[in-house]
Amino acid sequence: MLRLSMTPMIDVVLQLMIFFMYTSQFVQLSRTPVDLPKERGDGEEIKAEAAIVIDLPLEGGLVVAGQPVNEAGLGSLVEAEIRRRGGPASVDVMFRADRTLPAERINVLMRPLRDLGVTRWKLATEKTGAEP
Amino acid sequence: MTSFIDVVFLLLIFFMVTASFVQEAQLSAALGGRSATATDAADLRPQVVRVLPDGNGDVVYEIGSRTVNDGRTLMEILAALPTDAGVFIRVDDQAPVHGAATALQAAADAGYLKVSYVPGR
Repeated sequence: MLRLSMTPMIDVVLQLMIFFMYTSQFVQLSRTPVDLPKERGDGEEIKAEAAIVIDLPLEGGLVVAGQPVNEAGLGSLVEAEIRRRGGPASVDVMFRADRTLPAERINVLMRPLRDLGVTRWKLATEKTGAEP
Repeated sequence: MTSFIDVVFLLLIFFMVTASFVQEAQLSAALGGRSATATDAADLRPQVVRVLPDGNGDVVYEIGSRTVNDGRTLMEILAALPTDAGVFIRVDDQAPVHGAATALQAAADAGYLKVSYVPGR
């Protein structure tokens, strides 16, 4: 009588689970490690990535999609994204800023964003799980 | 034993992967500034919170004539005010980012749906 071995099936299932978990986390893995503000967030699930994610690490500089950029380069990226999405109303920006940085680092970027017509932005936080 | 070791090893990797990722959340706001004043006299006036550095690496929050230094008190004050007109959060350049995040969190917790961030000087 044919005896069905469960071990290979469990192996394969686990491998598939790990594969999908890794691939779903690739976006996070490509981000610069940043000590984010410790807040619970506004309860909105991060269903879709923001159009542009800007990392502001403590060491300085701007990092977009793992690549260091300057302010002029960021302006070009935002303009390209506005063209691609058909208008500034469709573009949102997420800042991943070190919690101890002066807000000036964000503020100086927001002024040109506002001039380009971008009005939606998000600040990334690290979930603490604490209740208000 | 080989299969058993395989499974244990995979379980180990599985739990290492699930434990190693930081859970990120987000605080959303509109980018305010140019339209930061009500243009119509009949408009409800939005609340304005100023986030200022306290000189010791932390922040204080000014709302009206009151000054508070923690997010919970700020949230309680904001929750007691009318939420319909929204809130402007003006963040001083020298205030740390975590102060801005705390103010945004307080506004969200107080039930404000219209939250505008105003880059301050």
